[in-house]
Amino acid sequence: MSDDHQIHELAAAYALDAVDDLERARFEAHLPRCSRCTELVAALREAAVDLSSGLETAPPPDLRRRVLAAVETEATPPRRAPRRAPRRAPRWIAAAAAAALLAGTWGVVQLREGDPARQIVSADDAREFTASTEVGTVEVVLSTAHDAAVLRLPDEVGSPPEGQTYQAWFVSADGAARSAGLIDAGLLDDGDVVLEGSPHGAVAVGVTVEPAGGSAQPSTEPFAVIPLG
Amino acid sequence: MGPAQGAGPLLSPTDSNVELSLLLRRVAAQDQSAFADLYDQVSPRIYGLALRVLRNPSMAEEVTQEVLLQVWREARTFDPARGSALAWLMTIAHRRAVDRVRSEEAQSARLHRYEARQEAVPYDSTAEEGEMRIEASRVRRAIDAVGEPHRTTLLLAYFEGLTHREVAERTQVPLGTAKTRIRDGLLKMRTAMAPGGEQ
Repeated sequence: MSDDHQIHELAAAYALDAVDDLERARFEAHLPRCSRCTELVAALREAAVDLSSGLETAPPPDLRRRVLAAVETEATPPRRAPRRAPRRAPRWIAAAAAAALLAGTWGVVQLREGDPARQIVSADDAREFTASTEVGTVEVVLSTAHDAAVLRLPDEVGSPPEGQTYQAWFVSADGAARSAGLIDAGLLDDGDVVLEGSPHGAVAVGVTVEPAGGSAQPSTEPFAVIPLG
Repeated sequence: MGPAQGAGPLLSPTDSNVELSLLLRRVAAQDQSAFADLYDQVSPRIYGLALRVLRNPSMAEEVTQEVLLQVWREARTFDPARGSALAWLMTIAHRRAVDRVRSEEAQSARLHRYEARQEAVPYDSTAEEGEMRIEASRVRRAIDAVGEPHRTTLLLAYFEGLTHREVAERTQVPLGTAKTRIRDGLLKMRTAMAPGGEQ
């Protein structure tokens, strides 16, 4: 398949971070299935290391104190304290938004009570969107009539690490991320997770790992981004 | 285990990689004194790269902090069987720096700056500037050994944070050519740097 063929060609650009977010996501989905690319990327990364040699510059002395203090805080068991300040919306959001923007916007939606996953998935106007991710194929099914969306994570997605949770996000065209709810271990067993809130205005769904209790804004890179278009 | 092991940045790559691997293993076990040693060994390298890519000391400092915290959290995912410790660390550092430079550029009318730069500066002088800072003779020789056009392609991608698409536009070659040049450039570098390769 020509698509498959092209993905191999991204290995070097990927090793040098010379890919855009969507190429990176596609390639990372491909990597676990391709030992040739995995070996090539590892070898090229070893070579690329030397590009950063000779630039060594001592950072400001104060940085050492701050980094070590931050680590000490993390190493101390948290008492429900926020782990770190919210960052600006990560760049992947903008990329997912840009990609999906081309695919059109939402039609008129009608509000209804939160329906179970099955109703959404079997709705007449249900539309499926999939993305290959590092954890396998992730799917979003959405129904404009129900004004709701369902997230389907593959079985390969195990429980989140202890003290952490998965969190889904609706991403709008301007790059804003809005929480679509936490996905806890119990929900994972069902396979289908009804996302919280309306997908109206969203151009992508992202899934991140967050500290237990969730975050107001994504604080890590998503392991899955599903453009809705 | 004692605190600092007296490691300077001048250790041979192999020694330093073995030592870094051992440190990373201790960091993975959440050993804070090992992390402090690791900081001392690698922060100049990480900060130097971030500074070169971002050209802004305070952003470079932020990126360095992010990188080191990520190292603290993810040290257990480092697998010596899959690559050297330094490659693992610098892969994280480069990606963070590039992510940051792209998001900054996206926010500040990237296209305009890009066009202005393109008019005012022939494409390879930014690469030359990158090269000038790479004084370390061994690396310098390896990059020179790569030869044009691969050298410019590598420097644009690595230090300017350009995607292969942007490298293709900037150097006015087809997309496939840019990808091939990145790959061949890195492979040539590897050959030149290999023990007994060039020296």
